[in-house]
Amino acid sequence: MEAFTLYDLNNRIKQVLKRDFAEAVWITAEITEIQLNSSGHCYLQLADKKEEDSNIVATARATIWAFVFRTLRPYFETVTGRSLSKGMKVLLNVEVVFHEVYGFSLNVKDIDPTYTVGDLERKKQEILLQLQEEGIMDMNRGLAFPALPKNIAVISSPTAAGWGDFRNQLEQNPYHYRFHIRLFPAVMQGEKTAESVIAALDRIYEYESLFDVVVIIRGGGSQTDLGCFDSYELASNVAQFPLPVIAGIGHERDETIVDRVAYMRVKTPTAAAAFLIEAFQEQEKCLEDRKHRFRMGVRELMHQEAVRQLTGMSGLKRSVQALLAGEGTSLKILSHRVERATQLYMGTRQSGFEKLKDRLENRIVLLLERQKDCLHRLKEGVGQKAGRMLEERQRRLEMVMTMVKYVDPNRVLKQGYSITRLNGKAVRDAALLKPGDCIETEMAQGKVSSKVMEK
Amino acid sequence: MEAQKLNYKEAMAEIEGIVAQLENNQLDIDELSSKVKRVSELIAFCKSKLHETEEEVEKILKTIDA
Repeated sequence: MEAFTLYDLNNRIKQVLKRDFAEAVWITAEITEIQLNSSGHCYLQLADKKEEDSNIVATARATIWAFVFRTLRPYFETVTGRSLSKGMKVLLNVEVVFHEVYGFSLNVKDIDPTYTVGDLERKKQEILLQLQEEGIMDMNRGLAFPALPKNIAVISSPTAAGWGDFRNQLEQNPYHYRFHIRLFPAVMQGEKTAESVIAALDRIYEYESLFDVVVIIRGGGSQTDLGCFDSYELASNVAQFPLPVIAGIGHERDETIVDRVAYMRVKTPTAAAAFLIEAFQEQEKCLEDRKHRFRMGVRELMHQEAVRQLTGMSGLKRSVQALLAGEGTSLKILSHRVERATQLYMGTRQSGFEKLKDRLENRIVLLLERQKDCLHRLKEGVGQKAGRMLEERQRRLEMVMTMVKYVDPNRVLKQGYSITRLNGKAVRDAALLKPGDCIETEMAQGKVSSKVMEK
Repeated sequence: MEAQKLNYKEAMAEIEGIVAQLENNQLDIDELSSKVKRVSELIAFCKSKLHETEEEVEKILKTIDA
């Protein structure tokens, strides 16, 4: 039996393949591994997966030689916005190559990036749908943005130019607003990005109450390394983060899923800083407006009060004047009344006096006349009366003289009566005398003294 | 002033409340001087939030090892 050498076999296979696959063919496959070497060649591991269970049904090595890769790479990246990377589905124009030593491989001659674009878009839509279905899609967007985003947690690579731009912008702002910024470093490029950013978010979550807002900055890096920001895991974390997340991932093209779920997406880190400064400006404007309104309000109130006082004063003045005028009038009226009353009174009194005078005069005249009359009558009667009185006096005198004749003591003494006297006084009672008293007895003719002897 | 207990949002809300009261003629002239005092304190507080850094916060931020 004739045996082939391995070389012969491989060579025959090579010839067969060369014949049957003389032309390059278009294949679709998923990149499961990718490696760039220093000489610029790109080595790929391709796989075909069953759609239903992702089981691998075919694999192959592929190579993009440096001279091809130099032109394919920018073309692909321009169209897709992504660099060739693991997990990406690609449509490749390949030459089937069989090398006696290295075996079967595919030599990539061309690539159709639109296929990748479509696939990426499909995947993105799937993730978005999933986020939607889970109800977390708009969670971060639904948060209330803090009035003053002063305390800022930043996720960035410490060496990224974007981080420096962001910090400078905030710290050198012309309005002299002051922020508190804290960096949480993360890998922002390559496969580890999603994982690293999620870890940073977890760190921030521990200090959640300290911060107002999270800013994810990815400035300065490759524009085509954003696949990780389309990751479901990262998007889900961002969407559910309790603080508003500003995505400053930095790209001009289509937005990533993280951009879609973040509270806010900005194109550059500088724009993120500007957004925060604007929030401060808005607050300052609001504060100034309130200050102004307050001042105006106070002024208005003071003015109103002044007017009120003035009106009150003039009202008071008016009413005082009115009152005074009223009082003046009533005073005048009163004085008139007093005057009139006085006149009336005086008038009355006057006539009263007059009457009284008249009456008095009449009386006096009457009285005088009566007295005159009386006097006259008296004069007339005096003559008669005097005559009668004189006669009476005469008669009474005569009578008295007769009586005197009878009571004359001498006549009595002559009739034999005597008068006994003690010490010159007539004794009318013998009891008044006591033995030894000297008594004097007068008789019609002469007196005799005697001593009482006995009683 | 209880600056430590006050937060920016509350301070702004309080200013707005007083301004609204004033504008709606619900403020008595007797309350005015106390309100003027209060509002100027609140404005000063808000301004400081805009323009000043707080040492305390800075200190805490420095203690975080990320």
